[in-house]
Amino acid sequence: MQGDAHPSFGLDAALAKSGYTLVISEKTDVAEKIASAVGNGRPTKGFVNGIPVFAVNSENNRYIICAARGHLYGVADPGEKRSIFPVLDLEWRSLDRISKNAGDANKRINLIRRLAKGATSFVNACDLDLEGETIAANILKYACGDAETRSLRAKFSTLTTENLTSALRDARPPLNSRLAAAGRTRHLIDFIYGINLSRALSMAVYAVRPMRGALSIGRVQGPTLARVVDREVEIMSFVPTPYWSISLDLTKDTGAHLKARYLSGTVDREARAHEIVNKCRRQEATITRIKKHASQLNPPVPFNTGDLQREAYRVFGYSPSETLHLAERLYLNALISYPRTGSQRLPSSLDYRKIITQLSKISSYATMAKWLLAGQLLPHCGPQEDPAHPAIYPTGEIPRRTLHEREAKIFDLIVSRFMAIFGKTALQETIEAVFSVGVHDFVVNGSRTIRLGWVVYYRRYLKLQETLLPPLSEGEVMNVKTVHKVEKFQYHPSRYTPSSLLAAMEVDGIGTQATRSEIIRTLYERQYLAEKAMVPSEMALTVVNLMRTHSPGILSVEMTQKMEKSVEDIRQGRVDPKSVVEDAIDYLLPSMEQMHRAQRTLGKELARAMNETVNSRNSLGVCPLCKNDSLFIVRSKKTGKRFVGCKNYSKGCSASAPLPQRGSIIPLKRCCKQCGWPIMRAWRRRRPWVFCVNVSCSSKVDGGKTNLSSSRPSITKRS
Amino acid sequence: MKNEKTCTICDRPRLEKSYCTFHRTAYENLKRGFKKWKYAYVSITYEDYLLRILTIKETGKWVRDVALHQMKKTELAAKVVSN
Repeated sequence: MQGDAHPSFGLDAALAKSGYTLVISEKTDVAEKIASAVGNGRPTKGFVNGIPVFAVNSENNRYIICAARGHLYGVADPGEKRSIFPVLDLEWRSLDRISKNAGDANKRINLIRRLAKGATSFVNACDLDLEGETIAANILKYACGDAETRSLRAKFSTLTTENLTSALRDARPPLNSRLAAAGRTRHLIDFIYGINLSRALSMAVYAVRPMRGALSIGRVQGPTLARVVDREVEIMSFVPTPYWSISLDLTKDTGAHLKARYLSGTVDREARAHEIVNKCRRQEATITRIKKHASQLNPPVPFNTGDLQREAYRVFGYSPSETLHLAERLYLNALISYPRTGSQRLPSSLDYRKIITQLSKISSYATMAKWLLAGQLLPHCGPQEDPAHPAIYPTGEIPRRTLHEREAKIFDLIVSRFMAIFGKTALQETIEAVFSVGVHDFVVNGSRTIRLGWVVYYRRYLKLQETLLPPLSEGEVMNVKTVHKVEKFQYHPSRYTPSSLLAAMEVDGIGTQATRSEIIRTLYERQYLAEKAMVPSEMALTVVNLMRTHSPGILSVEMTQKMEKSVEDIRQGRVDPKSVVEDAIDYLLPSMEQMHRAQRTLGKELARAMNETVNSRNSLGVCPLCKNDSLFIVRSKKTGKRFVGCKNYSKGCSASAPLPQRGSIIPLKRCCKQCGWPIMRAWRRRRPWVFCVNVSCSSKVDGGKTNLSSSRPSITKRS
Repeated sequence: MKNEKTCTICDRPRLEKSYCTFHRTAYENLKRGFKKWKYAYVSITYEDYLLRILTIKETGKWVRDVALHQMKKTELAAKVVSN
């Protein structure tokens, strides 16, 4: 940003000269962009207690711009005791009074409070969604002295200078405060469910066995976890059923080969499969039907949040939360529009030609942009709409810095998709040739691309399958060279991936575009899920099983769908927020009573599951010395340090190894090829490294004389 | 020595028939599965079915547990009869 950075902002001068407009944004980067865009000249940047503030003089107004950095207020239990539930009397508090990890929330609130005193008007420039509106509403209410009704709303979907300038110039008083009311109600309901259910579970464990670690379950978390657990139960209790697939190897006199499969699909009886094979052996196959069909593949629709997250997982393997994080960074660099959106539509007012012309300045898009600009630009949009934001699109801004590899990949995906939506329909021809061998029919399928159309813009991420067939004609006879009968077994349903779970949540209507990926991340953090394959832990299985027995309503998708609908009704002005909260409490209380009655049963089961989960997480497999399945991560009661030890220590096994004391560590469930000791991964300050726990391992530099930290690079390389 | 109130196979609390809720589900699936296998192979016995189920990698872990438990029970029963 161009501007002067002063160590001391000169706040006193600003306050003394009151009569400015206080603009509140959600993030510092956005505040900086607004200052840069609106500043008629050079904006001034300063710091008050380390918090950046921007001052701008435009043609006829003076703006002071500061950022909230997410929520500064949250819902809290005014009571002091954490063991009491149900908690139904709640209040909004500043974040520093709720959490020890509130960062600089208190400093920001104090600064906004001081700046509000000299402000004559307020502009809410937070993100235009439920969360953004809640953030702004709370700040305007609690820090700016009930300034909600006096504030103006700046609406923007991109951080381009043009968009921000017009957003501030056209800022209007909000038509109503329903969006904020909906957001605040959602927070209240989620807190009521989260705190009460989690306390009920945690206190049940504590009543049986005082142990560390809290259990959590929530309104969205519960049904999501239940989905994953149900799938796991299906997999673990799966009995494969046999079936047989039959195929023919066909040869033409010209020497061409074809493989045809049984037209009716699979055969479910062994005797029947035998019979078919016997009747087809050493016979001739006649082509009785050739069907050609041209199929159209319409261009894709622009990304909404969920579509982008799923596509990024499919092509790059990025988790939904990581994709959202990367997209947000691109948005903050004004490269793409706001990425938290449910819309698959682009506004007709958008100047597509201008965006594509600007993108053509990036060499990798120059040719494709030229093709698009030669024709008419009509986007292919999807059915989903979002009143707050359009679908995700590139703004046409050229990156001013070199994007990180992952950012660049997401940016390219969004640009490619944006270009593809203007492409022509792709055309493929499919051919189906049916061969008759006596009374049995077999089929050969082929396909070829007639026109690439939009795929040309998206070819890095999509390849059209092609199976070319030799020339065939009806009545033609081919020889059956071999008949194959293969015994197969049905496969169990696959585990959810972050992408498929996200899609399932979307279909169920649980969570929002903004929160779904966070919910999945929370399930990992709470140790309900392990590994990339989303394997639920014993704790997850037990929590879901117990909740189903004692309060099934909490896990029902219908319950959370009903709540989402109520929040939407508040937004539409159809219901009173108070009645929605009361309904939620009425639904929750019977479940709480039931859980309280079964406290001891719940506690015993949960304590067992917690122990088992911890043991399984800390288990490292077979001890290389005593050869028992007994190596695990231990924490010394005396020093509090963690190390690798053997359960047979009391029986004389001396296997032990030091571990890094800081950062996170996870066993990789595999052994070192050199010494047979377990391999682990550690993280510290976002830097992961893989190592063999054995300090004397021959794979280490200096024959194991070096300590873990100094041997990190070579170990990482070898593993 | 296993607690009488826990599942014969794992440490979860047992329902009826000595299994926990998950192993119980697996047991029921195993019984249902035999009918399908009988239809597919006609002459297969329950013992052969259990043996084959254990060799297929698609078989669920809890089903394997139950199949093994069932086989042990059958072996035990055979021993009692022969003695």
